[in-house]
Amino acid sequence: MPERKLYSFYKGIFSGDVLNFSKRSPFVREIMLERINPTRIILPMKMHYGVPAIPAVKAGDAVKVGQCVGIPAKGSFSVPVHSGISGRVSKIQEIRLPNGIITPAVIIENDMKRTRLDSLVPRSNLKLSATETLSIIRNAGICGMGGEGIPTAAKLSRARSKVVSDFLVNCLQSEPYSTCDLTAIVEYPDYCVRGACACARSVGAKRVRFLVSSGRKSCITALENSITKAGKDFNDLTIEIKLFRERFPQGYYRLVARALYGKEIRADETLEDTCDAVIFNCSTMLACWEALADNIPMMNRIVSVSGDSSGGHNVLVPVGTPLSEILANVISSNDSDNRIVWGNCLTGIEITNPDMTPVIKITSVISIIRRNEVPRTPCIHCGLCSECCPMNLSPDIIYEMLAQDLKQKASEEGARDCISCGSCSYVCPAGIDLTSAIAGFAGEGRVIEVNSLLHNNTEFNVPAGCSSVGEVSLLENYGDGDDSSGAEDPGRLNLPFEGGKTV
Amino acid sequence: MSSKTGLAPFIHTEKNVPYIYLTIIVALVPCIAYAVFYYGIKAIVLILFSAVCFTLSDYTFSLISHRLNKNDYFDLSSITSGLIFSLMLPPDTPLIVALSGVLFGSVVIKQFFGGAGCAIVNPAAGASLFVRMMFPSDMLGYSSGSGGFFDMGSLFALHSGTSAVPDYSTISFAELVSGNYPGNLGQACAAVALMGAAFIVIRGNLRLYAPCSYLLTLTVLYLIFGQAKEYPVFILSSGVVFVAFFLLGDLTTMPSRFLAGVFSGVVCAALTIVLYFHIDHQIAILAPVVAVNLMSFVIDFFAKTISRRKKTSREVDVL
Repeated sequence: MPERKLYSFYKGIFSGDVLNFSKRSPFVREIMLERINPTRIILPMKMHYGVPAIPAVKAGDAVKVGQCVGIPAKGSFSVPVHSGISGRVSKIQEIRLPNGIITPAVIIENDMKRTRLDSLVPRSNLKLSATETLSIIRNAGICGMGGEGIPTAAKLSRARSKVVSDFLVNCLQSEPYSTCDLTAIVEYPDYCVRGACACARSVGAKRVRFLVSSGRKSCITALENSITKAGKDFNDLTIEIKLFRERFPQGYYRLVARALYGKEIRADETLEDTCDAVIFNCSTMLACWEALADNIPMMNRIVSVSGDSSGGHNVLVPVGTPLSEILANVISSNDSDNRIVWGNCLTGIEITNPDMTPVIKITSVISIIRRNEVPRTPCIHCGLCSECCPMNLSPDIIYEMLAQDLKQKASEEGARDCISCGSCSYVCPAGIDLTSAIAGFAGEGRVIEVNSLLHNNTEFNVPAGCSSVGEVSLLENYGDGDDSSGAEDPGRLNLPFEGGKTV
Repeated sequence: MSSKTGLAPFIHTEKNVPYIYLTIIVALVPCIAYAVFYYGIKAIVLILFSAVCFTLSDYTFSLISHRLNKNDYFDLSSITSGLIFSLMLPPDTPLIVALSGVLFGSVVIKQFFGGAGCAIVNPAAGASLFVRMMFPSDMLGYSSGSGGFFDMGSLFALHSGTSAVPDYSTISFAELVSGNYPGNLGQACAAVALMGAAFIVIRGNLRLYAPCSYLLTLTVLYLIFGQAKEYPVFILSSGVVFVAFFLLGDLTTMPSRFLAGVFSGVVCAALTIVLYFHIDHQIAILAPVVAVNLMSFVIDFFAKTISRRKKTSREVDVL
């Protein structure tokens, strides 16, 4: 039984009307797999945080379900890309993702036959060593599905080298309208729990803690049952459920640390060092167990299609499905007046060409938001932004400093700590775009850092102040992990899930 | 980026600036009704006159200073300030005195410092203090509607008459609670002010740190330094409740943090008690409010620094 204490940080948004009107439609996985079967998919080679994969197919090649179409580049910060449909590669072209990443993409036309690779059969021998587990997860192309996009294997191996004691599973999806993680838990609680336990064993953690919002009763029940079931197999682990208050943005790792451990993590510190813990998204754990038990690489994911002008849907789609195909399936009337937002409506990015924008591994929600203009009035210094800022900043003052080009002063006020959660813009009664101004400034410094550390030749171009602030600044800083894990790289590339063929 | 795509976030609370001011205006309605009930038609004339003049003055000034852009919203803050100002006037105030207060509050206090949201002190409190300092003899007309409901003679006089302050012993408690006691237009009845405050609190647009600490400190200090039997008159009729919720509860000119709010409420109450037994009572109530407004940014800044102290110092990068 979970203990009754509720954890939370002190600020943020918690108005019930925003967080609770995401309606979810229960579904049976197979039915949805039949339904959202896109005519083509666009598979970008860089869907994660790190080095892009290299296309392994040419135009005209036939691909099967589960086939690897992008082999990882050298280093642990690259993950392979798998096709979720069978068909023919129509072309390989460079596309620009909404978050500013320009990457080659493999476009596959669906032949609707759904022929799959012969090797996609459940694994018979589940006695895996930690190294094997990590390599399976790496070869399955799994990266953080909550939005950070860090290759899970890299994160696991770093946690393993740091010897963590707590393995946190983040089930705190508190963004408005998004329920895909919650659906994942309710539909596949066993997979989430077993995936988490297996990963916890592989990193040597002793405790597995599921972080759940106290309001999500169905999730808690599902997890409790699964923990009872899985407890027999994983009796060396202590599995707990920690209840949290529903509050945005509770799922961010620094706020989890503040709530659970009472510790402040600076931008250059990591959860492993400070709190002796590592945090993973529950959808990632689901994908890990799929890879470990069923031998299915990460080729599909659950996406919420929701918003204030559409009903709530959670659909299981192959990674790379263009947004237009999903929207055609779930929305009855295509109202062009609505904004289509790639990501949640507080930190996401509005897109204009749903035909060429795919669902990638880190896309958890597509929001359809009514276009309404907020009356823009002068700042009345009401202080509501400071009241809700989860990082304890004073957005109004920082905004004013940035407007007057006092960047040094703004840094002293802590502007670099902005996590671009969008709370301040959301509550601002004057309709001022606080988040984009401050997060743009906070992101300026980090983009250079990211490029220099990851030796990424793909241009990570994020113009300051543009709408693509969310993805960059919500990334965890993974500088140190890269150097150490890069040295361990065997320099050998396996074609994953195709019998370990060496390239 | 192209102009078609907007910036995150794409949702927004319903609470925008006009909504906040509209809440305050609605909360003032009981006070206005009370004023009209007790002081007759001249009260509503005075209140509407102040509100309209404040709005016109604000509008004209922003027109002259080219601060108005085309799709600007209708600035409800002017109406709010005008209403609060007029409710703090004695019932027999001539219109010309009210007008001078409005012009001072609107032009000097509000527009000189940058218009809505930029006023360094509460325009209503500043204007009220101004007329009390400049025209002290016109601020003594507490005739309590004795001339009849439709009597408007005092509005057009150049100077208001003076009514003697009745002695406290003749006032019954029931009359005090119901507001039947000489006082300013909207302030003499604490019950209606509380009613309005409750409405704003329900709407979630009021921080209670400063008002509550102000009223508590006033109670404690008055019982120590004043006479206990005069305390009900002081708290219910002198307008401190109105001042607490509508001036100290203001979002713009008061500190936003908890510690800062409590501190400013305590300071304001202490100053009020110090002044109350020596100078004109209304000035003694308003001057500390203005003083706290002036200090509010500094207080807020220190409160922020204190709350930061607990955490590790921030790394400051050199640009």
